[in-house]
Amino acid sequence: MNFIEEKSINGHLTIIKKYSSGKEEILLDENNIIVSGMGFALSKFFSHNHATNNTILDYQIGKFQVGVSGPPAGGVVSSIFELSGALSSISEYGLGSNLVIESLQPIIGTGVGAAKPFANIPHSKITRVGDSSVRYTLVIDEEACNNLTRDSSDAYLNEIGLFVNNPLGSASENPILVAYKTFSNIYKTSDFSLIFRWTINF
Amino acid sequence: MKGEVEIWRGDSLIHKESNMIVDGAGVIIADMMTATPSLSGYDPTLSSVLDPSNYCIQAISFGTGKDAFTSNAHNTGEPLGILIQQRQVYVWDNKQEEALLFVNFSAIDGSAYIPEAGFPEAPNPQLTRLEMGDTTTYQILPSEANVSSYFVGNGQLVNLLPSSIVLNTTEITGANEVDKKVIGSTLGCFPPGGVPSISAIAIFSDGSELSSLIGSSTFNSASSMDYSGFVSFQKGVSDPASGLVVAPIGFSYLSGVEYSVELGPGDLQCANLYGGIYHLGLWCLDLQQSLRSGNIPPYSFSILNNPRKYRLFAIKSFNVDITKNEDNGSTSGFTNYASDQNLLIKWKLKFL
Repeated sequence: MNFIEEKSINGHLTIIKKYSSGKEEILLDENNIIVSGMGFALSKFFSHNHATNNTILDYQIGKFQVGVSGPPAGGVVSSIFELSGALSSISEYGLGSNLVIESLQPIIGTGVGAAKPFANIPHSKITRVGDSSVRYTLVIDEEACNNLTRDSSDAYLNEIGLFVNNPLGSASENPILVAYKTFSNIYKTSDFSLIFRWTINF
Repeated sequence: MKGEVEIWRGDSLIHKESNMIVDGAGVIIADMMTATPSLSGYDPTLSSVLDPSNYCIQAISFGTGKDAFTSNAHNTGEPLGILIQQRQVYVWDNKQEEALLFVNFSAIDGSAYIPEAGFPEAPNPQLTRLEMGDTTTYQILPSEANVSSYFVGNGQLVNLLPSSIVLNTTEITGANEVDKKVIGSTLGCFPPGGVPSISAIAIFSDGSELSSLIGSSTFNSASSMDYSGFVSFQKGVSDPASGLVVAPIGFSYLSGVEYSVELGPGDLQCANLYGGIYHLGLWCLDLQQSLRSGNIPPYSFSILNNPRKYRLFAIKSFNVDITKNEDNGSTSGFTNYASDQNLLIKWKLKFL
C-alpha cells in the first residue's frame, strides 16, 4: 500500500470594488500562491519549539500588505518572502482609514528585513467557512491607499500578501509572508473601497 | 503538506514510503488559525487554551487489521477453552509471570509467528482512526462476562497487558481482579517495562510447544504509552526510546520536521503476537472535543486516565507486518527478537 498522498494548502482570492452607492464589481476571482513562509511557520509550529511567550495567536494569519510593484521581477514563485513594492509608510495606507497599521520587521530568508508597515486583520474578519477552510476579509476602505504616487507618477495597487503574525515568538514581532497574489492595476481613490475576500484551504 | 516514513533496524533502512495526511490535519490547522483570544479572557481558567501545544502533534499509535483483534493472542480458543483455562491457572496460581500469551499455528515456513490480520484498512483521507471497522475483542471471562463489556476496541493496539495498568486504569471498571488480568492478557498488546515478566507459548500443529520470555517494553519502561495505545510526545527530549520526539530537518524550518520513536524488541515481539503492526498514526490534540468533554487545558498526560482527546493527523499503512521476524539458522523466529533489533521510526513532515 504505497499511497503517495499529499494534502495541499491552497487559497482563492476574490477582489471586489465597492462604491459608496452600494454597487459592487468583481475585479478578480482566482487562486493565489502559497509561499515558503507557510511551510516555515507550520514547521516551526509543529516542531514544538515555541518561545516562552508564544501563543497560538503568533502562528495565525493576522496581517497583510498591499503593494504597487507586482509581479516580482523573478516571477511569482513560492520562494518569495516579500512584496515587490509594499506601501512604504503608514500615511500611504491612509491616516483616516479604519486600518490598524503597525511598523514591523518581516522575516526574510533566515533573517529579518527593514521595518515596513503592516495592516492588522481584525478577528471579526477571520471566518471559518468549512472544516478546513478559513476566510479572511480585508477591507481597504474609501479613506485608505488613495492617490498613491511613485517618482511623481500615479502608482497602482497590484499585489497583496498575507502574513503569519510572529512565528519566531520575537518580542518585536516579526511576521512572515505565507500567501501572495498579483492582480491588474487598480488606481485607488476615495470613490470606492476594495474588499479582498481571501479563502485559505488547509 | 506531505510526509514520509522511514523505518530503520539498526543501520539498515527497511522501509521508506510516503504517508497519507488525512482530512483531520486541515481541521486542526483551521482550528488553530481561528482560535480567538477572547477565549482566555472569558474565563481565567482557560488561559492555557492559547498554548500552541494544544494544537500540535502529541502522540503516535500502532494498528493492525480488524480481524487481528479476534485472533492471534487475543483469541484463546473457544469460550472457556483450553487456552483461557491455562491463563486462569497461571493467574490463580500466582506464578512469576504476569500473564501468558498463547498463539497457535502451523510452522510451515520456519517458526516465526505470522499473525492473522485479514485485510487492514486501506489508506483513506477521511479516516479518523487507524482501523475503522469493529476492533472489539470478544472473549468470555472466568466470571462468564465478556471482555467486550469492559472495553470497546478503539481501532489500534492498546496497552492493557501490564497488570499495573489493567488493574488500575479507570477505563476498566467493575471487573474482579482475576477477570482484569485475563482482560489485560486478552487485549494486549505491549509488555511491562522493567524486568521481563511475560512469557509467550507457541503451540504448534504437531502439539509441540515453544516458550519465549518477552523482553520489556520500551514504552512502558519510559512510561510514555497510555492504556489506549497512544505514545505521548516528549517535549525537550531527543532520545526516541523515551517516546515520540521531534527535531527540525536541516538548518532552518523550511525543510519541515521529523518525528521519531523507537520500538524495543519486547514491544515488537508482543505486538507481533497480537496481530502485528500494519498502521502507524500521528495524532494531534483535539481541543474542541476535549473542551466538550469538560476538560480544560493544560492537559497533562496520564497512563491510567488520560484526559487528552486526539485527532488523527496522518497515517501510514503497510502491506507487510513491520514486526515480522524470521528464523535465524536454528534459532526460531518466535524467540529471535534480539536486544539490538529495535525499530526506529522516522516520520518526516513537510508543510509546503
